[in-house]
Amino acid sequence: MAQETPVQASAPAPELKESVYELTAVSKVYGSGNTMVRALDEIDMTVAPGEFVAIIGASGSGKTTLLQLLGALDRPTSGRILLGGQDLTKLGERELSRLRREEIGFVFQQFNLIPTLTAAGNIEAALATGDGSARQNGDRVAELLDVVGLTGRGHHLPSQLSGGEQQRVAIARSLANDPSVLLADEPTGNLDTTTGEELLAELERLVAERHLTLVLITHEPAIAAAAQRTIRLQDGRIVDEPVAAKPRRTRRKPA
Amino acid sequence: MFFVKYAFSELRRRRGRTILTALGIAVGVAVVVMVSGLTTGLNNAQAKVLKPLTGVGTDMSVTRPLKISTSGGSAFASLAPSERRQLRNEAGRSSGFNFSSLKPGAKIDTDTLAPGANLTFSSGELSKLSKISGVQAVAGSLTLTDRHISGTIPKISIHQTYTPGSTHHFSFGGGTGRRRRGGGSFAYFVPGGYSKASGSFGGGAISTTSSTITGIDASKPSLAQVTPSQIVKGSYFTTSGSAYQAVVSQAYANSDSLKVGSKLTIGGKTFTVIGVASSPLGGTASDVYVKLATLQDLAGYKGQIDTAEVQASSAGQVGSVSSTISKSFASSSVTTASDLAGRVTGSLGDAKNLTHNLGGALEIVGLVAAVLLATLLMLSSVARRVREIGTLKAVGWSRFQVVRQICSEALGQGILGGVLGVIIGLVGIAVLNAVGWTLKATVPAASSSGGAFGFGALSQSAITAGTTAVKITAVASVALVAVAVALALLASLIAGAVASFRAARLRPAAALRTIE
Repeated sequence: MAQETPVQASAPAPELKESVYELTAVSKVYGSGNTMVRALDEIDMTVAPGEFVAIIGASGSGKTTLLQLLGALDRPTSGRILLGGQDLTKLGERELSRLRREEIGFVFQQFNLIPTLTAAGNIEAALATGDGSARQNGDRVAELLDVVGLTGRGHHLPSQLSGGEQQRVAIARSLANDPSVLLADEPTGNLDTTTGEELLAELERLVAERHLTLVLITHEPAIAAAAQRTIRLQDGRIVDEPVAAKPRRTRRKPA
Repeated sequence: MFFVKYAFSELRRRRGRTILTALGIAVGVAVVVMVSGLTTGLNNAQAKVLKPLTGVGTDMSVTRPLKISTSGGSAFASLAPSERRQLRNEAGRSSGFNFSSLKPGAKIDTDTLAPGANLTFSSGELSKLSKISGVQAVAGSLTLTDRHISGTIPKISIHQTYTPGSTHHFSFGGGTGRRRRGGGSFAYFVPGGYSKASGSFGGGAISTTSSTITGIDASKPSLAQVTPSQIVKGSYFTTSGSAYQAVVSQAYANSDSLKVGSKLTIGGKTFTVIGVASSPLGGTASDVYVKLATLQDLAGYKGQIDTAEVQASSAGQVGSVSSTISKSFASSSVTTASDLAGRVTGSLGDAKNLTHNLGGALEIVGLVAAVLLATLLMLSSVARRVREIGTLKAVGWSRFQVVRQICSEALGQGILGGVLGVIIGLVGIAVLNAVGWTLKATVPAASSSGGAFGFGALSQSAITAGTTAVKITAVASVALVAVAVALALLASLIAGAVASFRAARLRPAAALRTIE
C-alpha cells in the first residue's frame, strides 16, 4: 500500500495539458494473505480535457475503486496517477484535501447528503473550507440551487426531498468550487428510470456548459452510449475501450 | 459561521443523543457542585463551633505547658528539673497555707492565687512574637486558680504509727469536681524517740473553694479569652473603666448567684461584676475575667502571662507562623484552630472527616465518570457518522476541519451539560438545606491534673464540655460553580477530540465504505 509522503511545496496549478488524467500501471490491492483482493490490476488509461468517459463493468469489477483513485479518495497500491500533471501518489493529505476541494467534484450513488443540514447547508459545506466570505458563499449557494432547478427548496432537509431532488443537491455541491473534473459513481443508480434520464440530461447539460471533464460509472448501456468513450472493466482490468462517434470537445475553463 | 451553524444543526436534530451526552456531563458537574457545597457547609459549621474556642480574631494560642508524665507516680516528680524549679518559685509565692503557725480555734479567711498547668513567661515575649513575619497582632493573658480558705482551725489528735526521725505528710479532706472543699495537707517532722502518737480531730471546720480567674488585655477584645460577643448580660470591659471590673461566666454566676452589679472578693480586693458571659462549647471558660494588669498586681505576677493569643495576617500564614513560633519560643506549645478541631467529635467531626477524606475523591470520580461517559457517547455518535465524515473529506475537508467540527459539537454538549449540572447541583443543595440536616458536635471534658497537689497548682482552666447541634447549610460558591462548568467544557472537548481523531484519520474511501 502506498505510504503518506511529505507534502510537496505548493505550486500554481499547471496549465491543463492534453490529458487530465494519466494512469500508469495502477493497481489496488485490499487485504493480505487469504483475504487479499486485487481490485485493480495494472491499469493504464488517460482522460482528455472535456471528455465524457463512461466506465462500465459487472459488480466487483473495480469501477468504484478506480473512480475513488481518480477522485484522490484513496491511494493506489502501486502505479502512478497524474491529475493535471500532478502525481497524486506523491501528495500529502493537506494537498489532496485542496485538490478534492478545488479540482474535483464527486457525485455519489447514494447522494451522501448530510442529513442534519438543509439543501443549502449541504452545498455550503463544500464552500465552507474555502476562502469565500459567508456572504459570497450564500450567493454562490443560491446560484447553484437555481442552476439545478431547486430555487426555493434550499431550506428543506434531505429527508424532505425526493431522490431526484437530493441528487440535484449533490450535483450542485459537486459544482460548488468550480472544479475541472466531475466524477459520478452511478448517479442514477438509486433513481427510477424517468428521473434518472432527466438527471442524466441535466448532468450532461451542466458538464457541457462548464466544459468539464466527466468520468461516470454506470451499468446501464444507454447511459454508457451517451458517453464519448466507454471503458469496460473486468476483474480489475480494462478489457476494451470502444470509441463513441461523438467528437472530442476541447475544454475551456469558464470566465 | 458555517461550522457553528452545522454544530447547532447537528445538536438540534440529534436531540436524544445530545441530551444523553449532556446529562452524562451534567452528572459529573452536579457531583462537584454538591460535594463542594456540602464541604463548604461543613467547614462553616465547624468554624461556627470552633469560633468561640479561639476568639473572634485569634488564630493560635501560645503557651508553655508543663510536660507531665502520665505513667503514674508523682506528677511533680515527673516534671523536668527546670520546670520543677520554676513551679516551686511560682507556687512558693502563693503556696499552700501554713497551718503550723495557727492555734486550734483560730479563724482563717484567705485567698491564694496560683498558676495552672502552664508555666508563666514574660509579657516581653509578646513583642518578639509580634515581630514574626505573618503576625498581625498579639495579646497576652494570665489564668490563675484562686483558692479561698476560710473557717476555724480544729483541734487535731493524731493516731498514727510512724518512723522516728522521718518526715511524714498528713492529708485530710479533699473531694471531687471543679470546686474542692475542706481539703488540705501539711508536712511534719517527727523527732527521735517517738514511735507512736494518738489524737483526735474536732472542734473546727475549714472550707476551701477554688475558682479560675483569667486576666485579659481589654485593649484587644477580639484576641481575649472572653470576647464582647460572648456577653449575655451587662457589658464588656472598657479600657478607661475601673481596674476592679469583672466579667463572670454564666455557669459561675448561676452557681454563686451572681448578677451584674454583684461584688466579688479576689485577693482581698472587691470587684464589681459588670457582665455575664456565655461559656463556649469546647472553649476555655474561666469563672471570672478581670483586667490583666489588675490580676498581675494582685497575684504578684507583674509582667507575667501564661498565654499569648496570636492573630495571623491571613489564613494561609497560620501554618508558617505556628511553625516559626514553635521553633523560636523555647518549650512553647502552639495550638491552632485545626488543633482545636481535633477536640470536636460527634457526627460533625465524622462528617468533616468523611468529606476531607472522600470529598475530593468523590469530585474526581464524578468528573472522570462524566468524561468517560461523554467520550463513550461521542465515540458511538461519531461511529454512526463515519460515512458523513468521509463525504466531508471527499468535498475537500481536511482532518483538522473535521476534528474542529466534532469538537465544536462536543463543546455545545458540554455547555448544555455544564448548565444542566449546575442546575441539578443547586437543586440538590436546596433539597439538602430544606431537609435541615443537623449534626452533633461534641467536646469531651478535659481531665484536671490538680487533684494530687491541692493548694499547690496544676488545675487547668475548665474546658466547657458538652454536645451541641449544628445545622448544616450547604453553600454553592460562584467560584466553584465556574470551575465545575470549566471542567465540563474541558471534559467535552477531550471527549470530542478522542472521538473525532480516529474517524478523521480514515481515508475518505474507507470511510465511505462503512456500513451504517
